[in-house]
Amino acid sequence: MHLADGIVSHAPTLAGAAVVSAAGVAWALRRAPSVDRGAAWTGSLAAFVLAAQAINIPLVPGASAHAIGAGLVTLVLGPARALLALTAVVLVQALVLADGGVTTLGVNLVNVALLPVACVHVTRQLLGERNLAATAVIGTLAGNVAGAASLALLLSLGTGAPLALTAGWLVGVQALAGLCEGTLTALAVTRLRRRAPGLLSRPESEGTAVARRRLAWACVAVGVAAALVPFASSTPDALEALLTRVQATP
Amino acid sequence: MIGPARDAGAPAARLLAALSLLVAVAFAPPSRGSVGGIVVVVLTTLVALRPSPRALRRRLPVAALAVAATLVPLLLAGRGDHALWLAGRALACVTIAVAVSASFDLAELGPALSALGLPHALAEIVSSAVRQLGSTVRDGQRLLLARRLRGATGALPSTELFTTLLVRAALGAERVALARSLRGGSTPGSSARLGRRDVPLLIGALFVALALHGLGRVLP
Repeated sequence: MHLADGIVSHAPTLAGAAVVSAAGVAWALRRAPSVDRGAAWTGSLAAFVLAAQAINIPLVPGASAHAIGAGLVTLVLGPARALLALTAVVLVQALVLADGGVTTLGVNLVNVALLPVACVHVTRQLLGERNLAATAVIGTLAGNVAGAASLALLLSLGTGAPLALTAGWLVGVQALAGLCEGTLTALAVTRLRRRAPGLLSRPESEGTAVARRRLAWACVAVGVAAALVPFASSTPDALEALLTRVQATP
Repeated sequence: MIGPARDAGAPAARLLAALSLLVAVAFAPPSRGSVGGIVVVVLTTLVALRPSPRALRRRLPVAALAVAATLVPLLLAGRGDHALWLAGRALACVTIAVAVSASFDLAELGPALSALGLPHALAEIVSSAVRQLGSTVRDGQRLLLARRLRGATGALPSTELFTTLLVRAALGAERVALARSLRGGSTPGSSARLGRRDVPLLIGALFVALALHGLGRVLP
């Protein structure tokens, strides 16, 4: 899922992704509890994910995939530190392992860190602490699919590749990878809960109910927006109409 | 760092120079001038840094596969010419990145990033990850070997192995954190920071980047 340098050179796409990922990392830096003290543990998990991502497993003819690791790090470190760990992973991959790219750092951060971590965190908030295994499977699968869909959209914007074909290809492969990774993460988390429960992060106590309510409202908002899309007007808006008329006038 | 470019500048300066070349190649417009310029930049980088053939053999095929997988939809849509140009440009970037990274000391990365303005906390995590990567891989290999010697079968490692690795990593991280706090934390070393002696390298890299961009515009 790492986009290499040189494939997308559409500056607005790359700049937009860079701004979004920078905002995410800034949030994580502000939010991560005592990151200085936990830097070694966060770095350990980043090293763990780096090693895991180096293993490519053939999925379908012509394509292989690797684990992203967002499920495991989010459940162990919490969303803020997980985002920092995955940012470190993407940075090391781009600068040391030549996997991914420098100009596409923002895109890769959005697809490999921001969206997967957000999906796992949201799933954890929705399903609660009793269903960590289900959270691992659903969150990891959703994160992989969201990352692949976002990459397909960015590729379509940046290279002019047909969106349906790109999304079908990438989402299909990554959904399969997400299912495998999610199952492995669920097994690992279940075992970890039994063997070393202290290693799993605790969600913030203040707001599970509040977070659930916010998420429910967000889902309603997205649902309403999606339902209204078919009714959108195909005619140009006032500004576009004015610009067309001005350009048409000699 | 291997080769004559070892003492070309501080790690941060070398990283910045490599980044400017990568950005120039990644944004090169599709033209004959760009192709010529990119070939010259790639060859010059390979000659200047002399990465080990083993590093190139190990990383380039994987990167080529990743690029090809990304460009499959363009090929399926019948835009082979465009896909070929993108693949060539991406592979040139990968070759430069492999050459630079293979000649870069891993321990220099965190301080270099910190010197370039990356938040200290994030640079610390990068340093810690790079430092522990080797031991994590070694631990994993040792556990796999022990598992095999005990007669375990199956291609995929068990989740027990993952859990054991995680617990060991947590213990290792505790030791690292304790050692770090006893040393009084860490700050980027002065050798990692940009200095006056780095100016020629940075100006040179910027000149090459601008020349490549200009060549791409002048020779269509």
